[in-house]
Amino acid sequence: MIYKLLSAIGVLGTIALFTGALLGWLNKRYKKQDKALVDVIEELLPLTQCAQCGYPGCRPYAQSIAEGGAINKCPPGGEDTIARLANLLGREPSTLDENFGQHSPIHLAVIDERSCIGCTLCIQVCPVDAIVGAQRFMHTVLEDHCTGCELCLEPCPVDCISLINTDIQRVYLPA
Amino acid sequence: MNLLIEQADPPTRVYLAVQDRHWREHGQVDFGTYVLKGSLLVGGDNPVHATTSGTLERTVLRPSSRKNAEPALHLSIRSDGKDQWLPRAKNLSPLTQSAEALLTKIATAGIVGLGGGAFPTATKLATAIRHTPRYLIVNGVECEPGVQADEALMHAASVEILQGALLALQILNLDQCILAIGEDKHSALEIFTQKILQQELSGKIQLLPVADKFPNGSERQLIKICTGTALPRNVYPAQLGISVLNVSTLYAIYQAIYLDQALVERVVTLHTPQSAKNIRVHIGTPAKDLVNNNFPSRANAPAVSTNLIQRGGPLTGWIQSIDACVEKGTTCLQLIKNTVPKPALPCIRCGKCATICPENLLPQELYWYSKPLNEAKLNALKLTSCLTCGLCETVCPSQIPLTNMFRDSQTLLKQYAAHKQQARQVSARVKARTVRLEKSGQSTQSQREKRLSRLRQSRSSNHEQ
Ligand code: SF4
Ligand code: SF4
Ligand code: SF4
Ligand code: SF4
Ligand code: SF4
Repeated sequence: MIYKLLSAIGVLGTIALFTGALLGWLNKRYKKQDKALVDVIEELLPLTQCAQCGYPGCRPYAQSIAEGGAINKCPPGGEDTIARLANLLGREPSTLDENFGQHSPIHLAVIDERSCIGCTLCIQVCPVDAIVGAQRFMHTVLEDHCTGCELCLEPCPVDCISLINTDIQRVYLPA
Repeated sequence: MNLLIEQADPPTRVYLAVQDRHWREHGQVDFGTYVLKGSLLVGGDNPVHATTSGTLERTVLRPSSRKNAEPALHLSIRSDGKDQWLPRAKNLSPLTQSAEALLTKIATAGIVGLGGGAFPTATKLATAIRHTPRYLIVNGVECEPGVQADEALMHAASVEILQGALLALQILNLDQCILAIGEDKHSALEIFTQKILQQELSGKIQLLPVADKFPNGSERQLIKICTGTALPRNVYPAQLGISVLNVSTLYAIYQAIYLDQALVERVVTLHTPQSAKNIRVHIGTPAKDLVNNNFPSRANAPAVSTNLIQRGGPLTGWIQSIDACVEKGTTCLQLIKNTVPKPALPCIRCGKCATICPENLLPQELYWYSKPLNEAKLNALKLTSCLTCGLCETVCPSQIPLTNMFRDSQTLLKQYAAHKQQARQVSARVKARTVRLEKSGQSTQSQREKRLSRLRQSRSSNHEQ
């Protein structure tokens, strides 16, 4: 009798263990690989990192949106970005909150290398490390990395950084 | 249509497309300078040469010859009608030169794929060399109906083309190449069979007649035919050591290396509704001048009183302004009537498009997921391998403009990929910077706040001024 009882427990226990392991593996194997909402939102932002939205960069702003914050604070993105965010999140599109700044097309910073005195002030402010140079040497902007955030213009003591228009067109993923 | 090549007179002005930046950085001559045919105007990776002698005037905006492109910057040269060449080197002995020297020569002569792709040939060959060359395929298939520029050239310059092929073999350090010619080009096949026998090249050049069915002349299809295996998606032929060169490109290589000539002319098939001919044209000739000079009476006939012309063959070509100019990749120009296309009807899922697609794609599905664009599905359906050959569109009973749609979606997908790449890059850089600043004891948060307040200040002071 006790033997039967033990064997039943043994068999059922094995089955339970086996099924558990299988389910666990299946869960791991076919885990839904949805990206976190904040990543999706971040991809829709212009990624300029200019901090005009009041957050220290695009990612923190995306974080705040994911937590339910307003979607109309990003001036570089403008109405386009707002529309896409609204579409993604199922919210009402609103107009850009102009307290944060006005929408303008995308620029690229260029340093007039002849006038640069090599003070490194611009390097310190660039959020994406798009400026190279060293103390008392000429500085220059890496075109591929510059997001056109304008932050480097103001600190330059000799005003040798200017913005040029680019034909870069920011593309946003279909939301 | 006869296969004689007529030499075009230099037009009054030629216009050579150039990028603003390229011109500013690599421009070699000033406006107002007298230049000779073959003079280097813009150096750098994509050199531009004067295609006739005359005065370099200025840069102008003109309709571009590229697909769907905005008007683009062109250098204009006012021709003096003499068409005088720059003095060229003589007694060149290419057989003793190194592959690098020959490649440099090809690059500085501005040679690009003349079959329409216009990809720099030296880069193509150099990539193949980096990946160990395995095959050289010479493309003389020219499968688009109505385009005969290559065929005409094969008639006129078979010896030169063979010399060009030998040079390419020398550069790639290969023993053998395949010369693929369309089956219907009987006389070209005959000429090459003879010439190969005469010059005892049968060990080096293997003649291969290829069905002239469209799109067998496209690079990927041709590789499939010649090597028996299809290229994996997203792999360039050069990465597998396969080089496919068009016969016209080989002719240009011959000219560059034996005659020291830059690429300044090419053969173009010019069609009007009534007739057609092959003309050797100065690159940069406006299509309008070409039509007026060659068919003076017909240019103004009502059937062709149009401001449009089709560049390239009827299947892969596109419509451009008649003021656009011949480029290195222009194989064919065709006057067309201004017709309004029939409106597209809904897809009836007849499946005809899927039957004919040479890449075994499902055009009806691609169409379905192109509007609105569904990135994941389109990638799964391999939109990127669509050749935009236009066959699906040709057979579609609902006249759906499939090819254009696919081309646009392809562009968008590419842009999305670039944007995602950029997003990753920016995030990585911001992250790296944060870590670095924190290590050195500065907080990014306070730094950014400082920056922001400065930006605000400067903005408001700008406003006040
Ligand atoms: S304003 Fe827009 S672009 Fe600038 S940091 Fe904020 S989200 Fe990024
Ligand atoms: S270079 Fe200037 S404009 Fe460009 S990202 Fe850096 S700080 Fe911004
Ligand atoms: S802030 Fe101006 S002067 Fe100073 S390093 Fe940068 S570009 Fe040169
Ligand atoms: S041929 Fe045209 S109508 Fe037929 S399935 Fe393809 S897209 Fe639809
Ligand atoms: S254009 Fe149409 S037929 Fe040609 S490869 Fe693309 S989907 Fe296939």
